[in-house]
Amino acid sequence: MTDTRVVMDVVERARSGDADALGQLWRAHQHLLLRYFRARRVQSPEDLASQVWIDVAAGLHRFEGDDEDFRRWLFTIARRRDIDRVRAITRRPEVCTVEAGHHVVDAQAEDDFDAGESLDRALSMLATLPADQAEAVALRVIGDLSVAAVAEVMGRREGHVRVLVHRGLRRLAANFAVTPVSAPTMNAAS
Amino acid sequence: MSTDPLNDLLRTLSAPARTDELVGEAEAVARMRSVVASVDVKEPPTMHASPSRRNRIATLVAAGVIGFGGVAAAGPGNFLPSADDPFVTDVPEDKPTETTEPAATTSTAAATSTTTTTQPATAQTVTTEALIVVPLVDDPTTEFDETLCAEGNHGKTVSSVAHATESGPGKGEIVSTAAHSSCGKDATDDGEDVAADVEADDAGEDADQGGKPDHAGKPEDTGRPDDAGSRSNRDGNKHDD
Repeated sequence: MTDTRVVMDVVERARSGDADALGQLWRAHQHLLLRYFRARRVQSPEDLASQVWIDVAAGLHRFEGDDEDFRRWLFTIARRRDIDRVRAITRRPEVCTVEAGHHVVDAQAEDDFDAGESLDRALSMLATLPADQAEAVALRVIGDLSVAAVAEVMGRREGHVRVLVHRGLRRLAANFAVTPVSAPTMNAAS
Repeated sequence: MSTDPLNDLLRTLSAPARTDELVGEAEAVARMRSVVASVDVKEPPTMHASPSRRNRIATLVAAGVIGFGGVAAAGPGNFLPSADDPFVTDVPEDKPTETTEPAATTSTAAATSTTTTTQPATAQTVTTEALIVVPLVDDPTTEFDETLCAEGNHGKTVSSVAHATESGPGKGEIVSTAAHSSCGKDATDDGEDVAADVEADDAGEDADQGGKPDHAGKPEDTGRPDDAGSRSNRDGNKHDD
């Protein structure tokens, strides 16, 4: 959905409740939302993504723009929902059952590295970054947003976003230097 | 195959969706459809006031314009009572008031006398029962300028004298003299009824108390010469000369 007219057509049909258009939007962006939430160390990304899609459906009649505008809007909603989640946890502390595979670089992951696990490992490595660097890299890479769009979503200046992305990628490269990844594994991932 | 693990990792992050990431599409789309159907698309709220609010505001504005504008319009047209208007008093009508004031002469204050007058009920009306018709006296000994005499209006005469006289010692006496004079009273004889009424009152009072009125009301005027320009005196409630 890179053509603005196609996106607008899909959004227009989705506004009227067209199931195909809604499904098309969902299939094009659901995995991006899940990966973004996992990069932000969300325990149940599916639940949070479900809330995001409800907000999207409620605000579709107000949306205007192209594909990148839609993604920027989508990730803006996702970021706010995650902030709400963090605030709710702060107000009402709950026991978090941390899934080790999503937060810690597991040494065993390199042994059974298939396509799915490569994504999990990549997200796990991304989650080891500081929160703002991980978010900037996630929005830039997963969300495929421009620096300006990332800056708008994060509420930062573009220069700050560039610095965050640069430092995040440099730290990821340093992590790879410490724990090298075998070439067959990466081939499977790509 | 890539030799740069970082690029491979980034490529993995941006890879197309896996099948396990697209589980639950039907439920998600169903929820979205229900939300879209429940959304009532309305016009965004505007800053315009509602019709009822506009009506209330218009009513208030109209009331204000009529209220203040009416006063402003009545002022230049002399429809409002003036402070110098001798026909303005706020003394109730039904309460006879005892006033004690010096006898009016053309030049000096003399013996005092009392009179009973019936005051008007409203501020806009006044009785002229106690008006005494005295011809204008052109006394060379008067201390005030008799050219200020307002024909037929003794109160206005006193007011004019009060305004024309510069402040300082002696102003009170001058104003008092003007108040005690008959200046401005000569032209009130525009009807025979008034004179007849006054004469009748004089005769009645003389017969009752020999010039002493009934003290039924609270006295408002102490009869001091300085009070000659007060409202009760401006009514021309002179009894005798």
